[in-house]
Amino acid sequence: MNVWPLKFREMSDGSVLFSDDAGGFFKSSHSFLDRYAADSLTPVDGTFLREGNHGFDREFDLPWTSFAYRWARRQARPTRMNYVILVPTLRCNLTCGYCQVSRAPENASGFDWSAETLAGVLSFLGGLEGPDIKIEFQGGEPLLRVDLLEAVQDFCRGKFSRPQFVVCTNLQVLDERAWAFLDADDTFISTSLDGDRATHERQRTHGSEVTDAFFRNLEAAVSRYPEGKISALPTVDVASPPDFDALLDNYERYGIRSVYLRPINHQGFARKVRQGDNVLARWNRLHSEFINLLIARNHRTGRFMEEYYFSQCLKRVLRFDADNHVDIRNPNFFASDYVVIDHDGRFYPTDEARMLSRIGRIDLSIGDVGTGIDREKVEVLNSGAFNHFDPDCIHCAYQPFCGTDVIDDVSRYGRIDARRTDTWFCGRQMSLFDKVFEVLYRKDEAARASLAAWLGLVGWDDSMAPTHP
Amino acid sequence: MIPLRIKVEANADQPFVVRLRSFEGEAWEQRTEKLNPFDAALERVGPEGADYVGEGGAIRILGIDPSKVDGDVLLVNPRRGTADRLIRRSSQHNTFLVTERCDQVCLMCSQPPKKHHVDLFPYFETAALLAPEGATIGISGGEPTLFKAQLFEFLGRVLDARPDLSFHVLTNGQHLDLDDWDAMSSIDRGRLVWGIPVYSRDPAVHDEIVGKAGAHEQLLESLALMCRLGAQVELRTVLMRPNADGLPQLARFIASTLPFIRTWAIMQMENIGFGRMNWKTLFYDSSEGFDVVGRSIDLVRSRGIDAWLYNFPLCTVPEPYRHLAPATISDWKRAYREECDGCSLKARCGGFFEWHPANHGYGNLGAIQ
Amino acid sequence: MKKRLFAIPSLLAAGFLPANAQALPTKPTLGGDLGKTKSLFDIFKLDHLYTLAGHRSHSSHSSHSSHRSSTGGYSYIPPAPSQSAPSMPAPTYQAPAVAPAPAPLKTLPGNAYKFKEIVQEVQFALLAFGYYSGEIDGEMNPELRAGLLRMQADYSLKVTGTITPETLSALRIEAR
Repeated sequence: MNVWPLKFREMSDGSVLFSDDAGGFFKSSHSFLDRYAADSLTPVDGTFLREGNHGFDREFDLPWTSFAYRWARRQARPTRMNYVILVPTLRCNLTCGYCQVSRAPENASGFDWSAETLAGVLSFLGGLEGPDIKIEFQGGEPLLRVDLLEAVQDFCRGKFSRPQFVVCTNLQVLDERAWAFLDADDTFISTSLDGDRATHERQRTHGSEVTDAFFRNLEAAVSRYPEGKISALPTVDVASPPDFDALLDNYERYGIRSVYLRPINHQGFARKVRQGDNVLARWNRLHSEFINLLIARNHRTGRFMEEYYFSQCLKRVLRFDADNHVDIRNPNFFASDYVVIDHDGRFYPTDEARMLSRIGRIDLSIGDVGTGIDREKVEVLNSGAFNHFDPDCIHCAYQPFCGTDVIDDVSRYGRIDARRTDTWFCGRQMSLFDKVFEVLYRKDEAARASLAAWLGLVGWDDSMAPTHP
Repeated sequence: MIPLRIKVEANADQPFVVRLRSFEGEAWEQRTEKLNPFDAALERVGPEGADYVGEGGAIRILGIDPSKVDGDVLLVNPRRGTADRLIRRSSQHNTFLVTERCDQVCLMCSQPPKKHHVDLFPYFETAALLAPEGATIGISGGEPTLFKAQLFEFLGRVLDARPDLSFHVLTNGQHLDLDDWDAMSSIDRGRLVWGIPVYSRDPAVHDEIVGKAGAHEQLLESLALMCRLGAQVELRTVLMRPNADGLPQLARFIASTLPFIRTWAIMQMENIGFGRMNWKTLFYDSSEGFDVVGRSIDLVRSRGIDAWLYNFPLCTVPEPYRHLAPATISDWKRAYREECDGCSLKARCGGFFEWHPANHGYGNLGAIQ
Repeated sequence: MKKRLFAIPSLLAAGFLPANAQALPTKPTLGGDLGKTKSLFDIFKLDHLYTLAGHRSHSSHSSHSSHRSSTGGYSYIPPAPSQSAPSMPAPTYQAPAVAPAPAPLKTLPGNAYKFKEIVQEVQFALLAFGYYSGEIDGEMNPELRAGLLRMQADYSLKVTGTITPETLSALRIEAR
């Protein structure tokens, strides 16, 4: 038997995790590592590796073919544009501390789509293939321009048989027209809820009246709509995190069971000044504690909540078809299935790319609605958008599960060829996957129950994560 | 039980295919459209039978009301005075039995093989072309790939002519090889699912169950070929005492080495054919020992591979797994028992095989409120 | 329009290489001795399901209707010499001498249900007119057929034993 190359990483309990290029993995020991390195595998090792499909006898035999299949399926290859993020206005009626670049004052002019831009957006959407499309309205506060939202909605309902709309709104001011827009069954709400009331007020609303207005509207929306209509994200300040228990209680109270914990993403100068030292390590510790808390809470209450990104990474490890989240896509090619259109009609590959361009760091725009997507520039961006040949990644046990984020690299280091292991992206992903494997190999009822719930299974048992002595 | 064969009077030398059209009630307007040469339209119903007239002449159907066979495609055997309902319009379970020959002798075979073979492919082709819009037609046997040349031609021609149809072919995966590459890759793989049984990870257990030495090895070769062809495979495992304990091991094998399958179906046994003969030694009571089944399903599903329970009455399945047990028992074989009276799940339950024995089988069963 | 200045003047300065197909991951093929040039991706191209920022869009392709149970319990009797003598002279049938052409049977959704409703109305009307005494269950049955024959004869309609438009009008049942 030819054994496919194995990569390995020591786990926190002293054992060693092994993985192959197609995402097969198992936990073993240093002595197995020694045998593997010295090419002195025992027959027992051989049987185990064969059972896990880590080797083959000849090209095109079943194990070879299966390995090739899993490898191919793990490469992200979306080809149809079906997710468009629109910024119809940059104006906003809140001034959140960490949002200095992606907003303009409520009364400013020149930050909304012109009639021409709207026409350009519709003509771009008109060129897409159906039958489904997802439109996400970002801002600014998109509900300041319900008229533009309605125009897009009308157009998409005519053009696509299965359109969906997500309004990312701060829920501060909702008039009748805004409610009517949100009432439609194909329209969903995504909002920010930074945890408990005090944290939300400190970070976002800055005054009890404004805070009241937000919670009043949130409660109205929750009572008006079925569960699943509203999703929310907390933005977490590493220097001053919210009380996680209170955060989970609050989310559950509003019927939101999936929490996507995100660190404040300061841009440029603010990033250095405001966050202090060791942000990455502190974030990773916070996130890990949050997962532990979730597992214990789920076990205690029997009502299961999840951290969205952790669940994505967990599925990415176990399954070959889970490349839904962009940060774990590999290759992570731009403008393939989603794209951002800014308030001035310019295309950007991601929202962060839009902000980087806005603060004058680097021009990452990729065309505008008048001239179309600049495919040549996209190709250049794509040239760095995979981890297959990165000198650090190729030895990493998490490479088959991980992705790349060149925009974040440019944002933080000015270059995409920084030493991978020094980057924020890598540090965060390593910690996440460490956590995923820690939980996968935990042997307590609480962890098993949460694993099952997060994976949509009835039960999880220890044999489902392979171990070789 | 729905009859698959009905009485027919028709004066003809050779068997023929005909589609029955009633045009009763509202459907009358449709009668103005030109009838297909293979259609026969209902003229009169009386105590002597139902008379149909088509381009080819007249036939008479007896013993069943025309409303029950409207739109059906029959293979009429005039000398015997019978007709096989090759396609029943209202059924999701139409299956062409292309041969009764087989090279395996499975312990629980519901359709024990026979030596005799009659080539009915031309009739099947005609019938398939007359099938209701969007139908999925099963191909079964015996072992259909014993006649793979005719089979591939049949599938290729019908799928080309009828872009709305799909096929599900049951095969033991013993007769496909590289020489079939061209034939198989020219068939639209998106509308063809191959149902292939595998009983165990352990070749000895599998070979014993199918009664053929080396069957397991050959099967794995075929599966590798299927993967390379991008064929859609539904893996089928009948749950029995000889293979129940090995089910989790088989699940691990599927997760690691057969990830390309579209579905894994774990199936309960059918008490007919050899299955009836060997029932006492083979039947595995999953209502008492569901653990191996549940663990296996969870493992495979955790890897993103679809797994389902076929032919499991819902009351024998623990509640959290019931959504994985679609009503698969074919309509014409399906029966409900006294215990089913008042069950709240009856509408979405496949029930029992008509021939399921009254006093053998599940320890745990009964109406669910 | 004024050209904006950026701190990092170009993508090249950020370490991006000029677009170059060779930089893409190698595409192993399964062709081998078969001389096929399809890549693994082409062969394994399958439906996808994407999520971005937690909003899901499904493109699932499997459906319950395709779950099939099993074979078994049935076989066609091969054509064999006749023994059975038909009860009456059998009608003559000569199979069409044309090649079969695709002729999908169109079924409109809800048709079966509508038919049942009509049968129910016919049963009710025949009951009222004294031609039927069976159940009002929407199912055709021999007694209903016999009732139709008698009613059609009495009203000088074409005697078919079937639900013809004529019969419906005579029974004052309106087609919808």
